[in-house]
Amino acid sequence: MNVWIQLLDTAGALLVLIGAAISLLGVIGMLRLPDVLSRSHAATKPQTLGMLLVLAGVALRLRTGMDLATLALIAFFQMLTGPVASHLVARSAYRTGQVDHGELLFDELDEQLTDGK
Amino acid sequence: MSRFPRFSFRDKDLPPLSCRVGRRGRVLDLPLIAWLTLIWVLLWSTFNLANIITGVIVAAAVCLAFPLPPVDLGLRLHPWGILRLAGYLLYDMYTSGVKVTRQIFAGMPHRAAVIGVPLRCRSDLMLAAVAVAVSNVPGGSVIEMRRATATVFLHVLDADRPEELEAARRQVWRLEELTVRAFGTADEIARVAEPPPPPQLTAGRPAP
Amino acid sequence: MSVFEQIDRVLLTAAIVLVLAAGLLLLVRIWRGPSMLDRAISLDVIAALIIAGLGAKSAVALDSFYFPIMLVLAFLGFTGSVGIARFIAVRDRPQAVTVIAPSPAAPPGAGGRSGDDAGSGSDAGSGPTKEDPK
Repeated sequence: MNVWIQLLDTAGALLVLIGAAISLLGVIGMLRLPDVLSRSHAATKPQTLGMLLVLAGVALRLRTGMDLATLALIAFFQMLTGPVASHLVARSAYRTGQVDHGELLFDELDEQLTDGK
Repeated sequence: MSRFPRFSFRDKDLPPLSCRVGRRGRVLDLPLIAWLTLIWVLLWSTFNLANIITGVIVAAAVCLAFPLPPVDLGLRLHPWGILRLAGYLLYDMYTSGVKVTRQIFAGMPHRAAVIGVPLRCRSDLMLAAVAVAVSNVPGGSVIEMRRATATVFLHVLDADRPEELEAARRQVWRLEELTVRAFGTADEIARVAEPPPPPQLTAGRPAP
Repeated sequence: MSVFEQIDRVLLTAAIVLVLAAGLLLLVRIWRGPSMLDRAISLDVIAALIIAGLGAKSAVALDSFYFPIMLVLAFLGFTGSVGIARFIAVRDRPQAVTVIAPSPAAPPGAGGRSGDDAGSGSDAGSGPTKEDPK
C-alpha cells in the first residue's frame, strides 16, 4: 500500500486523539471552575474544538465524498445549535440569580437592567 | 392562479428564487427546498436519483404544510468571506482554548466580569450570527443581547487586567466584521467598515 | 506497513479511553452539580462527547454506519438543556446564592430584581429587555 495513504490514516488517528484530549481538558475545566458561567466557558471547548478535530480526523481516515458531506453537516449543525443552549443556560443563570454578584468585578448588564426599571 | 408552478423569473411579483404553486398560490422558497433535500440525502447517506426525488417531494410537502412568512432575511453568501470567517474562527478557537486551559490550571482565583460590547450591525440575522460566532469561541459566553441598542453582553473570565478586557472587545468586533462580510448585505458591510464605537463610560472601571 | 496500522490502533484506542474518561468525569459533575443549570451544560457536553466517541469508533472500524446517529444528535442534542434552562431551573435554586450580600458591584436593586424573577414562576424570559433575536 502507498506510504502516503498510510500517513494520512495515521494523521487522522492523531487528530482524533488530539480532539479527545481537548474534550477531556474541557471536562476537567468543568470540574474545577467555580460557578455556572465559568463552567460554560470550559464547556464550549469539547463542544466545538474537540469535536471539530475528531470529525476532521474521521474525515481524513474515511475519504469518500458522501461521508465528508455528512461530517461537514454534523459540524455545521453542532456549531449552530450549541450556542442556543449555552446562551439560554447563561441567560437563565443570570436571571434567576445564580450568579454571585459580589464575585463579579463589574457588571455592565446589571447597571443597564437596573436603570431600565 | 394557474395550476402549473410559476417561477420568479417569469413573475416579477414573487421574491427571487421562489415559485408559486397550486390554486391558492402558495410560495415555495427554492433554496430552502434544495437545502432540505440535501439534508434528506445525507440522512440516507447514499446519493442516487430515488433519494433526490423523494427528498424533493418531502421537502416541498413540508414547506407546504408548514409555510414560513415570506420575509427577506438579508442573507447574502460571500464565499471568500465565509472562508476567511472559518479560518479566523479556527484560529480563535485555538488561541482562546489555550487561554481558557491556562486559566483552568492556574489555580488562582480569577475575577470574572460582565461586559457590554456595542455592535455596529443592525439587522436581526446579523446580530444572531455574531452571537453564534462569539459563543462558539471558548472565551466568550453570551449572556444577553439587546436588540434596540445592538449590544451584546459577555461574561469574561480573567477581567482583572484591562488589556484582557480590551482584547475581548476587539475580538468581538473582529468577529462581527468577518461575520457580516461573510453573510451580510451591502449596507451592513458598509456599516461594519467604519471604526468601532468609542468605549462606554463604564468600560474599564477600576475595581471597587 | 503493519507498523502504521499498529500505531493507528494505539492512537485510536487512547482516544476512545480519553473520551470515556471525560464522560465519567462529567458524570461526577452531573451527580454533584449544585444547580440544574450545571446539569444542563453537562448534558450538552455529553451529547458532544457521544458524537466524538461515535466518531472515534467509526474511525477505528472505517465505516460510516453511525453517521446518521451523530447527525441527529447534532440536530437535537441541545433541546434537553434548553428545556431545563427554560422551565426547570427557575424552580430549582441553590440555597447558598439566594442570600445576595449587597456589595459595591451589585447595587441594592440587583437582589430585588432576581427575587422578582424567581417570584414570577417560569417567566425568566420576560424582563425589561426586548426579546433576543434568536
